[in-house]
Amino acid sequence: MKGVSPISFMAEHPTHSVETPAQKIFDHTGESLSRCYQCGKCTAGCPMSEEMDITPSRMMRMLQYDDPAMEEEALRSYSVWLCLTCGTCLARCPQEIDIPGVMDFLRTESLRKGMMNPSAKNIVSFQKSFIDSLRLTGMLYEVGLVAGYKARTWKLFQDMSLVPWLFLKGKLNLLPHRVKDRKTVKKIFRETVK
Amino acid sequence: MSRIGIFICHCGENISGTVDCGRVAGECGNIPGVTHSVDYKYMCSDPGQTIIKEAIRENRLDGVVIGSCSPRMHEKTFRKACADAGLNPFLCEMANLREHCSWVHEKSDATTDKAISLIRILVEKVKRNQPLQPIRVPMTKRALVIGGGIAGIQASLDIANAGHPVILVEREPSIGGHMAQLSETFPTLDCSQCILTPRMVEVAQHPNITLYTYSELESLEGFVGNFKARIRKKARGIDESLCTGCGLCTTKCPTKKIPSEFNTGLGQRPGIFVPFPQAVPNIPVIDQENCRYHLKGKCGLCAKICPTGAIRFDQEDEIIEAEIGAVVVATGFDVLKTDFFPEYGYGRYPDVITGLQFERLASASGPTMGEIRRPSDGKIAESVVFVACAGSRDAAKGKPYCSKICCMYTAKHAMLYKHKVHHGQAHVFYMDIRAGGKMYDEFVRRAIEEDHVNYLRGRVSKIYEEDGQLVVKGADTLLDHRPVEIKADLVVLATAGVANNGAEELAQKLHVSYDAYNFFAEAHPKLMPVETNTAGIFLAGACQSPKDIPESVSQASGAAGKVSALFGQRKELERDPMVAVVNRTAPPLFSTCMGCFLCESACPYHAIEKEEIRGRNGDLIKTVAKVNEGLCQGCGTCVALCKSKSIDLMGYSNQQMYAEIKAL
Amino acid sequence: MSRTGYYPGCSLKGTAREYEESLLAVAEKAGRPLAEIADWNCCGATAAHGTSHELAIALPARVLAQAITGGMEELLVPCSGCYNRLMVTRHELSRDPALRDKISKMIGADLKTPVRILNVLEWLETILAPGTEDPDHVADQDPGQDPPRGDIPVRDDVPTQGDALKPDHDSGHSDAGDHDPDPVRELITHPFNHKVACYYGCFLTRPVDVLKPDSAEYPMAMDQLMERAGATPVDWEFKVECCGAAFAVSRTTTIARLSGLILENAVRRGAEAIIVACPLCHANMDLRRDAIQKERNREIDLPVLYLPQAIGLAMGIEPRQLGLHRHRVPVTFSLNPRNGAPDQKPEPRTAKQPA
Ligand SMILES: Cc1cc2nc3c(=O)[nH]c(=O)nc-3n(C[C@H](O)[C@H](O)[C@H](O)COP(=O)(O)OP(=O)(O)OC[C@H]3O[C@@H](n4cnc5c(N)ncnc54)[C@H](O)[C@@H]3O)c2cc1C
Ligand code: SF4
Ligand code: SF4
Repeated sequence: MKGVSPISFMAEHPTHSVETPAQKIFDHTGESLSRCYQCGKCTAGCPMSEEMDITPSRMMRMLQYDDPAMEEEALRSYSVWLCLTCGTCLARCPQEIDIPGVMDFLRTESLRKGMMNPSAKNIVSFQKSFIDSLRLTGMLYEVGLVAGYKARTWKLFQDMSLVPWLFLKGKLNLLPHRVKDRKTVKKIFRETVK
Repeated sequence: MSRIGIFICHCGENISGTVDCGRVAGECGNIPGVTHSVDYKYMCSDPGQTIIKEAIRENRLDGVVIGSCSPRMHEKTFRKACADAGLNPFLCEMANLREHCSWVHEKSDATTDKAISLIRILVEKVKRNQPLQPIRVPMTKRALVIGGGIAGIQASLDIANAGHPVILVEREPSIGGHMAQLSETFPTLDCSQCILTPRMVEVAQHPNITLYTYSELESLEGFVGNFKARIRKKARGIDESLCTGCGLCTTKCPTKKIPSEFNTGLGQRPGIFVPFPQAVPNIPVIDQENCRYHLKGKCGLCAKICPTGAIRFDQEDEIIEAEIGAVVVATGFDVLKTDFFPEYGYGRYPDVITGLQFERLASASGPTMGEIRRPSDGKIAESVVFVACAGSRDAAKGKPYCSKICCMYTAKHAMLYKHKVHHGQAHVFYMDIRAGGKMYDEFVRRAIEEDHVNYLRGRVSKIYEEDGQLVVKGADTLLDHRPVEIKADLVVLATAGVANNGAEELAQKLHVSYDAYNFFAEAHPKLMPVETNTAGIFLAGACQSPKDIPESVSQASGAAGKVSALFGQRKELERDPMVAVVNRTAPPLFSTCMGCFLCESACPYHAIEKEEIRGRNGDLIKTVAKVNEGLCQGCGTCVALCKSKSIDLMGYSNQQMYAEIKAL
Repeated sequence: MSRTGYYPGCSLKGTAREYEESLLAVAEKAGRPLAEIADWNCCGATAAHGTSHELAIALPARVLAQAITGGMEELLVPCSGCYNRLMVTRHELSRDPALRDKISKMIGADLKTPVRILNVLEWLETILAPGTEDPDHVADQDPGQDPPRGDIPVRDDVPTQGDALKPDHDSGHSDAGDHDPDPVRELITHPFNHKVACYYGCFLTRPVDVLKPDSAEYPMAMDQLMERAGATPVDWEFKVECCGAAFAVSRTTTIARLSGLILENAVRRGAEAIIVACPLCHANMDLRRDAIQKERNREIDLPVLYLPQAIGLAMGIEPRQLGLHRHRVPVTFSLNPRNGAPDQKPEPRTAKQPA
């Protein structure tokens, strides 16, 4: 079967031979996208929807299609990175679809497939710096984080005006705290981040 | 030795698809006592019934077992066929090979074996069946209609016009229901009051209708044709025979600021009041919870002013008892209030109102004389947002069902608004437009095309107040799923239609089933939409599910037709004789019943009576239980409970049941 | 009393240092010292679940395990970001035993022993628990003051469960001794007599079915606490709206827009301070104030206080001890002791930014 076809039943019928986007999402998050009846309430309440290229309800619609091109468009979107995981959509969704959970999955998929949206560089860099800091110390080391982030994004001077002030107020630590049980932290990262 | 005939139906492929019907007929032919066994494609068809009839005559059968669908479906058909052939109909039994076997199992030998077992146990039962005669009971030809909305009004008028007496019970001070609150009605925009009030007056004046307003059903006992109703007529505080309806009392009452129920809280009423000018009956009611006389013991201004001296502060509730043959339930519906919606402010914003409140705003007799003024400050609303599906189709927080009427009344509201405020802006947030019905879609198109109502497809996520206006955050899913924000003076929520309060208690009083949302349940969703599971109790209008006026009226006429047909039948009603019987034996025992009367307290239908057995000289020998076969519904509770095993159910005796089990 | 552990999380040791300072000060003054759990790690915040689902579960799971190992029955998690991650993690672990076993093995620790996770509201509620009501005192209130039911405007029908718990500092309550001492009265020596906007944000309220806030759209728990501290919470619209959260560093424009809307609404409703319980919210609304002012094109001098800071002030704790000097937007409330001199006017707030 070629072409674009809506796949309302996919999630409930795992016997389907090809892994459709909705099926993949169902397998990983337990969310059945066929429940989405496109009311748009998520988009209406989403704090980020006006900045998004694909708003949440539209994203759900695209993923209801059994179409790799549509899936790729979703994974390459800016929106998956703009989602704040604030949970407003889920809290108000009449069908209780865990959109933030789906967005999380799309983010990891986007990274895994190298389909990250170029505009999301800042956001992804921040996330990576954050994770690096965790990997290294088991804690968030803010100076390291900001430094790492700046180095990744070459935004060396943005925010610099705040830094001396933060030091002055005693809000930044020069040396990182570290978790003593380094072994476990390392193990966690080894086993969960592929 | 019995001569039993077995008839196996294929039900097209419904049964034969998984059950080998030929083998069933063949093997069942070998059961001792069976003299005839055949299978056929459709036993219920004319030729099928002929097969049964001929077999009974030719083989002088004294019992019949039919292996087919559920007895609910065709027991009447087959028993009648047997009766036509001269066999007592209660010697015919049905084994449910479809719902209990073929539909729930895969095709296999085991499935066929199970079918054979189902037949075999019934053969053992039929061997012990007694020929029974239907019970004849007298019938009261008087109907009780509960609820005086448009559905109750229509049902009452139709039954009364067929010549039967009707008692109409309405819990509010006036009949009329929600229709009396509506401004104009879709799809024709005729004035609701104008078409309703003539019918209300007709009810009041009809010689066959007794109207009890401000009254509620206290209890209903009995069964079809023989109900006993107790009706509580709440104290109105007025001697109705003296009241002329002049209304002077209502103008003098010092308690004036009670939110008016009729105006959905948007207007106020005094402590002694008539809910609306066209009320039927036009007799005021004293609201005891707010009346100064009742609260503080002094005031009595209304009593002083009443020219006929009709005020009765000390009036008490009255209980009216009536014999009833059939009941029509027409208690209508209600709508969710705005405080149900967290994201729309929990009812904190006075300018977020329900559709019903909008009806009152738009009504010429309403609190604003039909001007669309917002409740907070009385300003004419320059822009109005209508939100459809508020609480409907919302499995998470509201009701999963579609309330059916709101698409249409929302289009009507937007249209009425545009007709009243020409320069105003009307926006409708909707998910789908459900406008199936004669002239319905055309009506919605008119709102969009001629009155330029802006329809936006999307649900609203949040409403909040800013600078004296309401900000409505929605989305337009037809415009690239863009978020949309609209500032409005007034927001109208088309809130979900829900079961009326008190519906659950009423259903329990009436012994009728109701669904998960407390709407009354019809006996069959397609073929018995006005019947309930209880014989003699019928449904009309929105108490069964949200409905518009034409549908409510049609169903009311349907229910009235059923009642009239029942009353038109004959003097007596026939009932199945499956009732409990307390045994009687020869003297000196007379009955094994020991007279403990455990059964009396357990019987849900109050069918157990006491019988005194006296000797020749009139001495009381013993008191034993006796079942009133008119009241007994054959539930068998007493049979299970009787310690001395003195009670049996006709057609389902203990002996028959044991025989069935042993045959397995 | 059950053993209450304390998990500060990274922020409270860094940019949100004053949150910890005020929390510890309040704990000490209330005689309820907190025991920090040993060798904790970061909860992973938003970044972890954008990276790997299991990572986002494993990191908080190790924190829970540390609390279990430390023998804690309760764990106070003041940072609402961390609280959210810990609650979600516990929810997922209890829902999915296979995942629990896998993570348990990964971090080499027990995850089966239950630990109650407390957010800062729940913890403060145990400290500011209202005393037993004196029946006479309740009866004393003039029933005539209540407007007749039908006259109540719809606006006042807000579900303010807090009403019954109002501190009674102005009702001339004299006959103590008849009932238990009221901890609120004892601790709140300097009523915070200002209008405040209590801001809950995302992490204290969502996902609703995991966190079970008192209301998803209009919570009152914090409002009640502030009311007990003598403040007047305002009725406003942005209690649970998102401030921009994790975009504090990577997307300042978004922060300015979202946090700006929140501040603006609080100002309109007459609030003199915003009360928060989350380092991210604080950073976004306080640290990013310049950007917000630019975006809204107006000056907004509304200070942002951590809940324990506000309550600490009402308990008469020194502002410096509460870390108030660490804020970008200055906080200059000076509160007077209860039943003090009749002239109780708060000093005008200065709204200058540090040069
Ligand atoms: C906002 C709105 C606008 C509408 N506009 C239109 C329209 O334009 N056109 C249209 O066709 N339909 C419209 N409808 C639908 C219409 O209101 C209903 O179809 C109609 O009212 C149903 O009539 P009913 O008699 O079944 O119920 P109801 O009107 O609800 O009447 C039920 C009656 O039963 C009484 N009752 C309830 N419980 C008891 C009890 N236990 N004992 C005794 N009495 C009891 C009630 O007091 C009431 O009088 C609208 C509905 C709404 C909400
Ligand atoms: S969780 Fe993401 S998609 Fe949902 S409302 Fe928040 S930002 Fe929008
Ligand atoms: S009738 Fe229309 S507005 Fe009402 S619930 Fe159904 S779809 Fe929604």
